[in-house]
Amino acid sequence: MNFPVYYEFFCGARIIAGHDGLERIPLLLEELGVANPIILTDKGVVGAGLLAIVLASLRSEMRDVTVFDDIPPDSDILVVNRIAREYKKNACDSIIAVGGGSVIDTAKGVNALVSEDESDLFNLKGAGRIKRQLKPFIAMPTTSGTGSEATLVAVVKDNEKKVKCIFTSVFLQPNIAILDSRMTLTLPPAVTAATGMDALTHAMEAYYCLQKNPISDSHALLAVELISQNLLKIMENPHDKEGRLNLAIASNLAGIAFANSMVGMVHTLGHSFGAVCGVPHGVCMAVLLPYGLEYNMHKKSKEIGQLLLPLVGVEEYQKTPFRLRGERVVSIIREMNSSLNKITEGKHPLRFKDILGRDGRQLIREEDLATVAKVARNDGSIFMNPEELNYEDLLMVATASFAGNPLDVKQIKKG
Amino acid sequence: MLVHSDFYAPVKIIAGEGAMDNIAVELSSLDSCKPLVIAPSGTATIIRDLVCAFGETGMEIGVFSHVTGKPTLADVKNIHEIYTSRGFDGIIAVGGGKVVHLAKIANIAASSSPEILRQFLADEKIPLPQLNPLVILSGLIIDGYECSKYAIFSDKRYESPSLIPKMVIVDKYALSGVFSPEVALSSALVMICALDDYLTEKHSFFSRAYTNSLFGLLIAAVDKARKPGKWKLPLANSLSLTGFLLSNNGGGWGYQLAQALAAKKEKSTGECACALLPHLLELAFERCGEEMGRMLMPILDVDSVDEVKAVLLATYHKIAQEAGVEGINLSINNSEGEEMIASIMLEGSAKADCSRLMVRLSS
Ligand SMILES: [Fe+2]
Repeated sequence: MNFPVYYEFFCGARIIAGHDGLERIPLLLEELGVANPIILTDKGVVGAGLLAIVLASLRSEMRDVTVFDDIPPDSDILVVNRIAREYKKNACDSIIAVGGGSVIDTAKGVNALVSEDESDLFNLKGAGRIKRQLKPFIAMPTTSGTGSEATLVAVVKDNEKKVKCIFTSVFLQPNIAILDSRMTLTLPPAVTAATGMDALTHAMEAYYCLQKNPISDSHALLAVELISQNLLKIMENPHDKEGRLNLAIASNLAGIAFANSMVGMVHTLGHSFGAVCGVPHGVCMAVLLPYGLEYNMHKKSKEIGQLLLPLVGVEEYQKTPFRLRGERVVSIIREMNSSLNKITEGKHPLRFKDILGRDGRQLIREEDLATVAKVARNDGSIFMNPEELNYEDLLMVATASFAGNPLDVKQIKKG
Repeated sequence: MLVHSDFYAPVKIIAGEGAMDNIAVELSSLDSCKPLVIAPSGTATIIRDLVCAFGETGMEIGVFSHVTGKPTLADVKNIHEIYTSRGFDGIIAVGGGKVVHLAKIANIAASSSPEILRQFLADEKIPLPQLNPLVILSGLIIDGYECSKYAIFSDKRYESPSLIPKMVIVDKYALSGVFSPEVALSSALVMICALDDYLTEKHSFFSRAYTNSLFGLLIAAVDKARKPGKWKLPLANSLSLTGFLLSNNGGGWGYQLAQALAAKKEKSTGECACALLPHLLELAFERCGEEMGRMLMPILDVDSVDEVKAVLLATYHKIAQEAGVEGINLSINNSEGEEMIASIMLEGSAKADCSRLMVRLSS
């Protein structure tokens, strides 16, 4: 049993999972003592018909529902400030966020702003500035990946100043997270694949990175098992409600795990590929996860090897000699990526070189990699990675993942 | 596995070296800057350390350390008087069991009003307002309810999400003493709660994650029971997680049966848990041994399902041995058995399992 010298663990949200979670919203609002929520979402969610399902469940029971359905993918402080004004104008008393990470983070920001009676979110930036229970907040993730419904952090951009503002407080977590299978049924296959691999990365990095603890470990192991049993299954059969729900639960478990143990190199470089080249987060995770495992193998071979068990079950785990288990984990992740690549007809990329932009041209050029490595040095997750990473190390991994070559383990400086 | 689930355990765990040193900062993050410490008598050393932890922060703390027997309304009145007259805004409960029950009940009066407490005691369904933060400085002797939504007062179990403490601090300086029989009996309660999760069909993935951690922590602690300094932190951690499970399942049938037996046979719930454990383990191995093995292999760092089973059995034996109750016989007769099954209102497979267990106990 891993028992660190010191650790903290917290999951403040009540988690409701099921095929009919949405129908419980009116009752939940009543329990929370509120009656006039603002629903925050984006056009994608509206287009997929998901907002209509939420509204149907609400309007049968209550009259006043304010909707803001225009959260842009690059939501920022101005959007948060605007929604907060809308909230006040309509005398709302609670927030329901329906969407992916960007919507949920925006909702966290709005909640901080309206509850603390501030006019500018910027004033609440940093850790621990928010000290009181905020307004009742229900989050309904529509992707199974980010886990942001489980984290204590909100990341909101300030597009004017070109900086990311980070807000941390236990009170930012939603009061309730509803995981409803209907919310992810219509996700495009490539998004299901990428977000699923994001969740898998959360679970795996939570399990082998430096801030792991006995409670994050068990959440991570369960998440890995559920993702391994359900991701490819729902890719083949997207209407599998049971599979969708299991994946949503897995994503939440992985979110709880990494919110309490942090993540490592896969996220360090992934954030940077996202910021420098605009690659979607889940895609970065899928491409980089095998490299994260390879890079840290010599330091965490036992932990990485143990991840084989939830991936393949007891029999195959026992048959695999101890020293080969970690390598087998890496090859399984590569096999998963290959299967996802086939099922999505190439939309789930295997290497950064193959990712195309909206104009159909290659999104990342080899000369971008130096910038990616430079920017990655400043990412907070770098400190939680078991093996150290300097500029050369980051560039080496970025270059290998760009070309799709396995890491040359001899090049890893063992610090 | 129950796919439709509802799980809630909003207690922040702060565990390990220096955990107590963070208490002032953590309390202020909950907007409390003047806590009242509620402690049992005989905890002067812990209170001294606690006062030290607040040392340079400039925060004022008060101490109420007269908790002796079962919490009474007089205790609640005393605490309310001190709390309101001196302007406290949070409570730190030291240890487990009755101190925590008293702290939870007193917190209702202290941070809302005696009238609201009176209404709540008359009808626990009335919604409580947001209470001031309650933090537990974990001890080693528990009844399992500490980190749950329950409080026991005047022999009745009250329930409200507002009774859930905000935080539990697990620090070796607050964990004095040896692995005594009482500690072993607390461990038996922990183990029975974890087994309950495997034996009920109503568990969720979320309760299962905590259950697996709980097993890992408990087993690590019991294994090192004779090594000073090695077992206290994992054990106190597992004690906290017990409340998470109880909060969400109200006590599985194993735990409820242990309580029913305790009432009937005038023994402690821990002793009855010890008597039930070997039977519950056998049942769990039979019903879901493979699953338990698969889940616990990496956590216990062993390589086969059989090893997991062996470790679990060894843990039980050690607990029973340390508690001095190995092979305890509860001598239940058939009618007593049936009466107890009826009293805990079981359904479906749990009822069948419980009946089988009763037959074993009575033979
Ligand atoms: Fe991620």
